[in-house]
Amino acid sequence: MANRVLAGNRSTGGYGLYVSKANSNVLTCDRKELLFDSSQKRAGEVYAGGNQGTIGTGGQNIYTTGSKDSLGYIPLVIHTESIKGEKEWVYNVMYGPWWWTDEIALIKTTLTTITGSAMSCDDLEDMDAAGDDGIGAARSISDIRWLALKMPCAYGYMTSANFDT
Amino acid sequence: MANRVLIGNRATGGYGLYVSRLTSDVLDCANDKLMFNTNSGESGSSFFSAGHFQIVPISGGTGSNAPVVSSEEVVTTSADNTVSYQGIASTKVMTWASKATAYGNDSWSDDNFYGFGTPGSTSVTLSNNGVQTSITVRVVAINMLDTTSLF
Repeated sequence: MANRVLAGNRSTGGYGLYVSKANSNVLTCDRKELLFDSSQKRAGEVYAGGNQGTIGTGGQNIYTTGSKDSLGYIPLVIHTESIKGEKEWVYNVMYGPWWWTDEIALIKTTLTTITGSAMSCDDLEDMDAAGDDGIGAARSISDIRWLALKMPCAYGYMTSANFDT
Repeated sequence: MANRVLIGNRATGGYGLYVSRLTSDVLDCANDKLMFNTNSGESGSSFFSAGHFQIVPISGGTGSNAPVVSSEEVVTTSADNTVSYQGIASTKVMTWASKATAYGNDSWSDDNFYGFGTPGSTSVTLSNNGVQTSITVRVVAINMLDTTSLF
């Protein structure tokens, strides 16, 4: 049986805690063969999650309110819902399709909430105007499942202050 | 260099195994500075993690069989595919997918939607709800850890 757990000095990674996959020697295996590696800056920890039949246009708190603190940054949220895929609309006979997205299942995230969001842009120049961020009106979501990871995912938060320390 | 690994009694959390992030002292850092924590019964400001992010293999992943982590599915219009995965997370699964190619924005393509049914312990239904003759999507299954409304 291979060495699976190391609390000590690994040749690649230095001092720390390491756990390898089955059949991989934790002392010498490639990093991709490690289940846990304390030398990496961010581990894939799930902080919170949920399963809701419907989320209205007012959005949903992604934490169990009263029992979990905000992470202090907007987290990476992975979600799935009843409908995904391409959408194209507002067709114009002179110019063809005006709005198109490769993914209709858009969500807007804040420190503590997720809200379904429609795509929108105000002109044919594809979001060139100041403030035209492509985010349209809030939309309802059905049959949603999500996981909030302990990873920052927002402008201003994806810095060494949140990733390196 | 900061203390990174503690097997023992931490001032906040009690006895357990703790690993801190790179420059944080595992003995007294805030909980969000921990990469790993065996503490249980977490609540409020001491909450650390609901669990590890984990992909559920489509096949393999047991014994010496390498895991297959995703599946490419071709679904014809108004049809359903059954996407199978290993039964390691019971029905606590979130299936996620992305289209292999976009239909394109140079012609009127209308709605090319697809969607999943409620995941079972080893499979889920994937439906083509759009107008394309067929769609090709890449599917992964993720361990949800829990299926309560909020966790």
